Amino acid sequence: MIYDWFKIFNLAEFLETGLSSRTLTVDLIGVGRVSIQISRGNEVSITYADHFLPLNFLTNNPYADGDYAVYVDDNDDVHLGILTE
Amino acid sequence: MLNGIDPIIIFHFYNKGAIDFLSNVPLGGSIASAVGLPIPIYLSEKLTGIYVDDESRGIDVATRVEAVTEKDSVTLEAETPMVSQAAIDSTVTVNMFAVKDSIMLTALIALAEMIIKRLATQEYGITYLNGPTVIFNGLLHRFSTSVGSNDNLIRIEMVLSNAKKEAPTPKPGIAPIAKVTGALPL
Repeated sequence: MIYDWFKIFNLAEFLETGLSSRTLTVDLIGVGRVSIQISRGNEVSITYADHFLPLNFLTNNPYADGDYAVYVDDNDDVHLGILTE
Repeated sequence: MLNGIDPIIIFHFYNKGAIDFLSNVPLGGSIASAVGLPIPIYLSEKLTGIYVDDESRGIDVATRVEAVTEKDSVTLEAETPMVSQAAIDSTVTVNMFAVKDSIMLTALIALAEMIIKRLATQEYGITYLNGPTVIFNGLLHRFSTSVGSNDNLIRIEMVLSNAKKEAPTPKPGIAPIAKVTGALPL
């Protein structure tokens, strides 16, 4: 499946803050200004468009749910994917 | 204050286009926003028939407590949460009385009506001076009048806000994020 990937935040930087959640307002080209919530429980996850996307869930990287996916690259950058085809 | 005795409210209306035009000039934006058509109304029972009954001041603050998941390695107690605060508003409430046939009362109500047309663009400012209570270039937060049946006085409540911010330099917006299309963002 092909996604439009957007680099949202860096996982290591977020973990350093020690926060349990943070809401990001980002401007995605072709999509517009959206809010993405990062939450941290046992694992870190993002919530976008009512979709809960845990990072590396059950060792799945990228992890996809419906039309959206999340991927963590080797630099700990977290990417949000929106399904195109 | 008039002769240092009576309170005064000054309404000023200006053109935002002039402010934007002068915003590139140092202090130009601030000067342009301060210059406009100033209309003073003295709150004196003898002069204008309007006088201040009481006034109060309030500051509203939003306090946000964000829990952290880190624990102290020795005591195993959770670290203190992050606390951030932001000012919501700083307001001054002025309660006034006016005699029913006061001409300046009519002017005061008319000026408040003029402000309604400029609320979206904020092309107005209200300055209130009464001793230690001072608001320069404030915003109208609430204006109300009421009439009692047993007297010839009109009660006026005016709440002024300090929320207006003059930003002579434009704030940087949120940088757009480009997309990478593919099975993976590589």
